[in-house]
Amino acid sequence: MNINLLKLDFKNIRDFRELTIPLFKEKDVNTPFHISLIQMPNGTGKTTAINLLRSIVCGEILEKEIVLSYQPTRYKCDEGYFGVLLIIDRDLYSLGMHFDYRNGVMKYETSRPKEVGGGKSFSYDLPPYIRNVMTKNFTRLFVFDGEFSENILDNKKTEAETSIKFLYFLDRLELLKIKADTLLENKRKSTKDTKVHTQQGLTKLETEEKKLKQTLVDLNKQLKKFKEESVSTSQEIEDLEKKNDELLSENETIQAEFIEFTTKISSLENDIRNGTNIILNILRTPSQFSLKMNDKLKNLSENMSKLKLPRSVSSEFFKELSDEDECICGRPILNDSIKKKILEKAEQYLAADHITTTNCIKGSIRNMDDYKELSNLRDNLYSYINEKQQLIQAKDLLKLRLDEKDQEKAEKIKQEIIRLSSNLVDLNLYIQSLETKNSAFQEEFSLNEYENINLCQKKLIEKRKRLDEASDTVNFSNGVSLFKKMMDNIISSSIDKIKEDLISKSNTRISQLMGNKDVVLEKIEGCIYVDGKKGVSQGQSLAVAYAFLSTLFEDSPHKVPFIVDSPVGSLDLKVRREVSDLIPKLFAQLIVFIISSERNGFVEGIGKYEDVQFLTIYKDERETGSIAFHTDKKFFMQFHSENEEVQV
Amino acid sequence: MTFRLSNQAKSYFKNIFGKGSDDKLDILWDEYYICLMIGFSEVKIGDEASADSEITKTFPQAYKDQRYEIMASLIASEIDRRGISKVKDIENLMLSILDHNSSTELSSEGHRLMNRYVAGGFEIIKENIREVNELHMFLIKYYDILINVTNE
Repeated sequence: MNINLLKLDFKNIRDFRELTIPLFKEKDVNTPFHISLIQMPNGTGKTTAINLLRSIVCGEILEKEIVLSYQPTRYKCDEGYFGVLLIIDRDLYSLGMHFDYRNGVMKYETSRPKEVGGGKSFSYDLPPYIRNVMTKNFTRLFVFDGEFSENILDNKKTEAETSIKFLYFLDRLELLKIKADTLLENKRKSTKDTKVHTQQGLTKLETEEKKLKQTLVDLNKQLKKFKEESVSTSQEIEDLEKKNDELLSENETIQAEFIEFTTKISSLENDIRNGTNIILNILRTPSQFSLKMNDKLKNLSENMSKLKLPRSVSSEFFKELSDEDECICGRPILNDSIKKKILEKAEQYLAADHITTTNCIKGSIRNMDDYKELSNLRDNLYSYINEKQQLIQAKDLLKLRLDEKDQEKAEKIKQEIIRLSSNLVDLNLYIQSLETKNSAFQEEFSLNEYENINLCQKKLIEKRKRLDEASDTVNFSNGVSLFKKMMDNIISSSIDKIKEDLISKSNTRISQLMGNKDVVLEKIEGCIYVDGKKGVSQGQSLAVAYAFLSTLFEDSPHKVPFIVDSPVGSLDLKVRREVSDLIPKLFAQLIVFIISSERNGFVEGIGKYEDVQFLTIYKDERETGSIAFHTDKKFFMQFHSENEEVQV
Repeated sequence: MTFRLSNQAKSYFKNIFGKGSDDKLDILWDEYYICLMIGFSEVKIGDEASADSEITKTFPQAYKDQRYEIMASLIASEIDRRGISKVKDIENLMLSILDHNSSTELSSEGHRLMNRYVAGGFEIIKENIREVNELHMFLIKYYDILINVTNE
């Protein structure tokens, strides 16, 4: 990215009522001067210009206090403007800051003069690839002030190292670390139900899950065992009953009666089954369910006929009528309110399909049979059940007529059947407790996950979900730690290599510029350290600082103008000459704000270069807010402000 | 829109329910119907929330022929419960209970009411028949409470 600054515009900013500072050549408005020397007496607005430039380039939103600080104090006005014209990779961009002094707010305006209609938008709207680069910290590297150059050389500051991070985007890696921490925090918040974020907590959850898994296996084994026992117990009971029957059927004295009882019982069981099904089938018809129900339905049928339900008029009739111009009575349907009334009526009537259903209901009860009493069927069924019970008892009494030995056997069989039946009831209860999914049963028997398979499965699913979430969070946390460690390694190894390279290139540049190797950039540890064989002058240090910065930008993919306020400050004449001789060689566009007292020594050095413009800007005291502007070199060199002391 | 029965009712009937068995109830709708008709007969509705288990979305094949009589029983019971007799009120009742677009021709309100009558009917049954082991004995006791409550 190659950026040049072509113009600055001020309107109602501090003491500038209206001022344009052109930085381009008359012959080619898209090409800036290599060097623009802007001479402004103290208090004219140099610092204001530098601060505004630094803000506008990175799109900084200014706070109310700062906005109001730009309001002119010597005359009344409510609005102000500061704008720059930039050329970025051959495209022109106009950026403007509009100040609303009444409300203490400002807003941006961006336009691209090359585009049709100016491509104007009322925001800071440079293309994303430029916006991403133009951070506040990056801007500080090329919109430069004396304080920053001092900080680069100050061993209590870390400006030099920080600059490397900004320019080579290593600060973005620091931001990635913060982003990773934010993601981890969000992850923890999203799984707050789990509340397990440590390896220890995770291990505890894993143990619990393992225990539940084993419980589920054990419960299933138990279920299988109980079911097998239930089957074998049932079989044993059946075998014993057969044995009992055999004992009775093989005895000659009671054989005939036994067969008779067995046959009758079997026949009664059939009767019971048939009787049950007959009653059930009759009850399945609502009109035959009970006399009361039959009466109710008859009543409904009569009412429907009496009330002429369903009514023959359907809601469709009113809907169609509302579309007609004339009512069935011949009156015209003139307006929407009449139509609305008719449609309201439609809602009170059944739709045609509703009527069909209602007619089916009506039809189903219109010709229904009278209620037939079920009591005979009920009494018959009851007598079959009683008779069967009596026969079972009689069959049981047959064994009393067996001889003593067989009676003993029969009694033993009976006792065994009682014992096994009791076992079978218990077994079936265990089975039911183990496999029931019925929540009412589970509650009734206070079953838990260690007693019921369904509850155990549910608990296991729940535990697995928590475990998945927890392990996900813990793994994520480990990943974040690893990622941050990697970032630190990358930053650290990158910055070491960059420093090594910068020191080497800066020293080559310094020796070329100064024509000797007397002064070198020794190291970069927070700030830059300068070393010299014959000692290091202030000017030499400053020149090394500029060489360091120009080397930084040289290897950077971004070429920017170097804008500097008071580059030589209170340096002596010799140093000023050194600096003025060097700086122009370092940057493609150099914009220097100076005061008349800094001219001496510095301008002479710069004057050797071609492609330099000399601008003098000062307050015209004849009119409030008026600014005088000169482009003449002679005027520049002779201008002297009364407010500035000659320091050299 | 579904026919729903409480888990408690399903548990209550478990000994007399068994698919393909001669002497047991064959489908869950039998249990639903047994409760529903006592509810209709006694105009007793129960708590909708207790019907926590869905059994079917449509009338089962075995009850297809009786579905209009069942709907008629619902309308008749609601007329009783609401104490209405005017044509307009009965028509409004039908509008709220019936829905010709539904597969059962009952609206969601119709289903909701059916499920509430089932819950009400089940309360009557379990109050009068504590334990259910055999279908034939259950039917005798069921018929007896039907006669008793009908005579009350």
